[in-house]
Amino acid sequence: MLRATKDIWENRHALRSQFYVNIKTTVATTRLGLLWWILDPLLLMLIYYFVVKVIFDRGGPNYHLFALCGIVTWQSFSRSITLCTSSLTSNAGLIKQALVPMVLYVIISPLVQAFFYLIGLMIIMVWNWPVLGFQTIGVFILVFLMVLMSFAIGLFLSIFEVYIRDTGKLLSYILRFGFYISPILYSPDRIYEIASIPDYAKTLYSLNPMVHFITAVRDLLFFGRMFDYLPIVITFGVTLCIMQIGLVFFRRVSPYVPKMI
Amino acid sequence: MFMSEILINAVSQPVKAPQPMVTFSNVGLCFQKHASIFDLLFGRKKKDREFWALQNISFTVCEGDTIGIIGRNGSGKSTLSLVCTKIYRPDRGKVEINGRVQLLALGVGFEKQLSGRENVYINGSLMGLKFSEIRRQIDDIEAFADIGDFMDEQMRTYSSGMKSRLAFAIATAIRPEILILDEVLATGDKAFQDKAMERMKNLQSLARCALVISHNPAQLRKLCNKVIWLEKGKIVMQGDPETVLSAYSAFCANPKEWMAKNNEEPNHPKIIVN
Repeated sequence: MLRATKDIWENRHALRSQFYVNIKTTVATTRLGLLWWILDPLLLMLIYYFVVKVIFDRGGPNYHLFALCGIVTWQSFSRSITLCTSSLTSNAGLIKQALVPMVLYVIISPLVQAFFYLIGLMIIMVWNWPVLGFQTIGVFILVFLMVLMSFAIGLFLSIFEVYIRDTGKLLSYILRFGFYISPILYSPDRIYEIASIPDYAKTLYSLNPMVHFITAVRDLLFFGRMFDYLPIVITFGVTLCIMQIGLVFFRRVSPYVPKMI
Repeated sequence: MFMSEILINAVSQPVKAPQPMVTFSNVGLCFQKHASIFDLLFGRKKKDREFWALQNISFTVCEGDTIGIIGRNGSGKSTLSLVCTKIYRPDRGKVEINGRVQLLALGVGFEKQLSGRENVYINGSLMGLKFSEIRRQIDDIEAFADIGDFMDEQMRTYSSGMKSRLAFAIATAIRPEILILDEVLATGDKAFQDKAMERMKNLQSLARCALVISHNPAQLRKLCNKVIWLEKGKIVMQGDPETVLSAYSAFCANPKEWMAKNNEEPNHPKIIVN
């Protein structure tokens, strides 16, 4: 982890310019530009609001904001993972020309997505301003955790994608599945309340880091209270372990990557 | 002032052997066709899937050298340049490189949606420059590329010649110790080629070295003090440009016949002229 931090620090100028490129190109390709990053979660929110609230007549008060917390978080997570996965294959040209450590291409997508994630969270904050308070600063901890989580997973997936090009395809289905097993449209308490779900399944469900992550986001921005420390600290710890294993794996395999792309 | 310093140096240190910048000893590089990730992790190698792109490559590039690399398509020229930049790790033999390497290939690393000026910063930073260093050099780069108002246009509007002008300007402005040009000079017009030649000569006089990959024998003759001829990943001949290039021309006139006459695959450097 130290070596990776050093690599990234030494190439911070390249990182900065790649960050700029990524933001500028996503914005430059469309007519509405930056506005898309605001519109995208809002439109999704509208769809789910229609389905859950209007058709099924479920969801609590302020369901639109409740769902938005989940949607913004999930979108950011799934986008960074998807982009991480293709980070080595889509940067093949650069990898074969520039002497920048490859780890840089993997971390750039989580960083860019973190930027857009902050924009999304800002929308919620503005909308739900009465609950803001000192605890809102906790958002930065969560965004940081999000970067580490997607980076840790991305280290593995980006390499898998080089060797098995089906990874990206498969991932889109897994992410679709993940959308429903994470408490995006509902509260995790719903799962725990249902008696027909066996206990082991509930334990399994609580192992999903997104359950705790989204709960924490909601605590901060929907209910306006500090989140539970324990699940977040544990998620941090597990993420750091996976990241360390990922970095060792990445360092071991990455010298062979240029030949394969 | 500068001249006198050189004179003094020349007196105090009479003969100094040129420092080797790049040394290849028996380098081989193989591509694994359909390698699986498990083979990699457990270090397995399957012989039938191997393709040796380079075999038994040995040469030295010293300070002030400009080495030309010539060969037919698919003979391993670009692969060789990627080994020089340490992007490809050789599977056999040893590569020693002393100095900062910069590889320059056409149309790589430019972002089409952004302007030329922005791309200078992006490319420069990928080559390891700080933003402040690029800011200091940008006028120089702009002047050398000489593409006028296109500097602030989106890159997608550029012609391939303009792209190579800009790429060459950036790569030489950072003054790498070892510069590798992969068919970059081919697309520029005559005026630019002359200017590029001049800058290459400058680099030579600064005791930096360069490897030039080209299909243009006249260019190599003018620029290089040594030429390496590759065929099927092996060195056929290396040495004095005149000799190697004329042999290569003879070969190109009828490759099959040449092979038959020499009656064997180019296994090892048969002829080394110095």
